[in-house]
Amino acid sequence: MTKVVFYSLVAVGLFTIGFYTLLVEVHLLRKIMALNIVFTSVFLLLIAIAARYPQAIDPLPHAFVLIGILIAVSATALALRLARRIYQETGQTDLSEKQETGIS
Amino acid sequence: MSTSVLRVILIIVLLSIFELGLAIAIFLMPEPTISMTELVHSQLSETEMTHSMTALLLNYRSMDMLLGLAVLFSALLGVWNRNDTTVSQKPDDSDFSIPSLHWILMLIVLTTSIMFWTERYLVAGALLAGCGILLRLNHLIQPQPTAGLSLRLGLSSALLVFLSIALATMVSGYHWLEYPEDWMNEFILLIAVSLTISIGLTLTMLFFGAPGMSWHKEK
Repeated sequence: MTKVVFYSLVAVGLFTIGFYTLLVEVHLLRKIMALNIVFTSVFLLLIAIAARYPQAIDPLPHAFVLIGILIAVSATALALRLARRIYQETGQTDLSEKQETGIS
Repeated sequence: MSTSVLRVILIIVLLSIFELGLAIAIFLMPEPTISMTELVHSQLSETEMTHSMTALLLNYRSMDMLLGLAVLFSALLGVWNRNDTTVSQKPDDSDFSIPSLHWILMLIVLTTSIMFWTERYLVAGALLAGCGILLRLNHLIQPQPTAGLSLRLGLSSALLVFLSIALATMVSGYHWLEYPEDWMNEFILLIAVSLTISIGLTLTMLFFGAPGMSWHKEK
């Protein structure tokens, strides 16, 4: 049980790091990387929960992680695409309006 | 300056409270009362599958799989942006190439078949996507601004097969996504093939960021 708690706490720590970076950083690429850290922390938590049974590993959270990885990859691709579009349209890599009004 | 510092401090304080709550929730997590593992393995023979995770994904939680595929497809539609005219019309001038690519591709295809044989369909799809990306990096396939019919069918095959099986079983009096016993093997095989192809193609197209692809033509 202690191992499960340890990995769950690591997952919570990773989630906090990712979420903090997501809120504080302005660069879009860093935000996307932070989002991926958040995804990873959720997968780690699910896998830790799957190991709670002493006899064998619970396959249900593992199945969810498998679908989750697919969704994380597709979400990252969409986010990267949107970030690239924002860069093409405005010439900046963040969502602040200061530079935009300064140019125009 | 001071407002941004205040904002960071506020975020740190709120996140600390949040993390404390999560940690308490982990320590208060109740002991499992039923063993899901035994339950899944005792029911595994009914699904006529050997891999417990795939049996879960395609039988018991097929609705989640269907919704996951829908999310994947929506992301692909988001990446296909018709107004975006910059879809790499410029020629590839990078001279990136992988030595002895055909051996690597053969290995990947072999691994894909093993994964498919052992019912790890999502892994097989991801490996196929890896094949596509390797071909793209070696300029053997190229992004195109429009997609052909076969590519569109391949991309949407998993969703189409899943939805048509779900509707067909519902019309013939079964529950939503409950496979009839006589047709179980055929349905599962059909779903597996379409799932592998669809996931492989979708992940490759997400990497391309373009609606279509074609084999590279020698000039």
